Amino acid sequence: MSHHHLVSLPYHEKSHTIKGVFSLSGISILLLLWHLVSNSLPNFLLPSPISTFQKTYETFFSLDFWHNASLTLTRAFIAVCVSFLLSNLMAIACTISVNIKRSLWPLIMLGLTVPSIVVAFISVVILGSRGPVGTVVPVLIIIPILFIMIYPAYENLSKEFAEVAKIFHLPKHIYIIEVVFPQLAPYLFAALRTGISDGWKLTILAEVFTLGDGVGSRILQYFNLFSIRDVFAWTVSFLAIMILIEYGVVQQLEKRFVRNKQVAHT
Amino acid sequence: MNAMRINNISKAYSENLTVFQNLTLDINAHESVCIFGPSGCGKTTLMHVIADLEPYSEGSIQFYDGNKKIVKNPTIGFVFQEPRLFPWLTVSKNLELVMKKPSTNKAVIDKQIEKTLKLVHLEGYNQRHPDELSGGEKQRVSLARALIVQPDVLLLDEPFSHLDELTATKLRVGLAQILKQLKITTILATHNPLEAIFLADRIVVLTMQKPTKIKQILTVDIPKPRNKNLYGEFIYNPVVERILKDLFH
Repeated sequence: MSHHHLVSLPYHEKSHTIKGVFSLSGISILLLLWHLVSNSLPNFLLPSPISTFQKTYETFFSLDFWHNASLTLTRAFIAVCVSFLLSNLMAIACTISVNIKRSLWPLIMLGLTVPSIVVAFISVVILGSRGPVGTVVPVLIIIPILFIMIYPAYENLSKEFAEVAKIFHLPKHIYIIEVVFPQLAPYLFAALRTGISDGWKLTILAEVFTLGDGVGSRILQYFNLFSIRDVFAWTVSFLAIMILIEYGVVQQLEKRFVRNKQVAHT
Repeated sequence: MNAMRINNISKAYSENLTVFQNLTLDINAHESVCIFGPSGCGKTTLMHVIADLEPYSEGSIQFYDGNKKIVKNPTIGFVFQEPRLFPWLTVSKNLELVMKKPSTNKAVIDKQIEKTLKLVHLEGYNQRHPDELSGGEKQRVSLARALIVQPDVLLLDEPFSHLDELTATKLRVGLAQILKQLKITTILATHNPLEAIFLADRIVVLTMQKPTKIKQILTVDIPKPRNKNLYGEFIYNPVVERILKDLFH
């Protein structure tokens, strides 16, 4: 019956349905495995998906979660903004001056190769476990990643379009908004998305080391209490917020600004 | 009456590479002048120098208005070899972007865009993006963009060289009609002899050897409008035959 229903759907709807089935299948398998493994392990080691989701629901609507989530989000937001700004400034500087590029390039390579955990350790040793370290760690780790994504866009800005702008005397601000930004936009949004997804994970990692407040710190506390159910509940709750930000903000902004993604590269 | 004077200009990239040397040329108002020469002789560099896209080493280039006064910042319309339209903007937005002082009145802007698109036979193409246009249509939008700024001088740098011959011929005929209608001072760079004869009042023939110099200037004394059919009677016109002989001399 359901098969018959599927066949009678128009092609594009059928295609969406099939895609949806495949998308859900991965998560379904994971949940099934989780359920099976949790049955064979003690509840304190691995709680079942159902009890975890019950706890997640409680956590998501608790004041404690939103207090700590807002701290983590603020740190992650500052870290992403600062990293995004600095990596753009560095990319612009490298495009303008070969010497700046020569001096920055080894640092970028160093940043890309040093393990994140080492950066976190060193930052905590230098800055202490309180204060700005929760923001500094993600910034230090994200900047090289964003730079590598953004720099080619600046380097390959069309000289032909720049000539058109010069001939027709386009004012500088119009040139930047209407000619430069559309060429950069696909790269900037890809970098922004990477920055956000790495930013919140690294902020949580930094909070684990700082032993203060924030989602990372609370996760560590629950881990130390062997409450894996709470660890999962806090992780899933925060993940839900990040997914909302990804689909509700980043993708909507991308749709608005990257009007013609494919042709913007030509 | 002079619209422009290229006075003894030279362009060198290095001591060993001088592209052209001591070029002098007066261009009259409403005149169509063709810079003719083989590929690599420096036509595009000369066009870029005139458009102030590249600096020149020596000499001067001056533009004049109707009262013989020097125009310091002339409005130049430029059609490149390739259309160079902004692919993320619609045809309408591509034209609107370059309008020098966009009026706040949207209706006035739209009217001017409509008028220019009609001139290049692209009515109703306003909302299309460049990737929805054929090569010939893109080049016509590029021409519309150059015309909408109401240029003091229109520079056309081998505008049809990337198109198939059939499309190029249609566009040449269209361009001839537009130039006759608008009476714009025009400089066209081409290596196509028939195109040069069909569109120009004078043909400036450049030498092949570097540094490039002016070899000769031919006057095309064929009355306008010239035959619309570029490959019809026009090609058998004795004047065309003589100019072709001179060009290939």
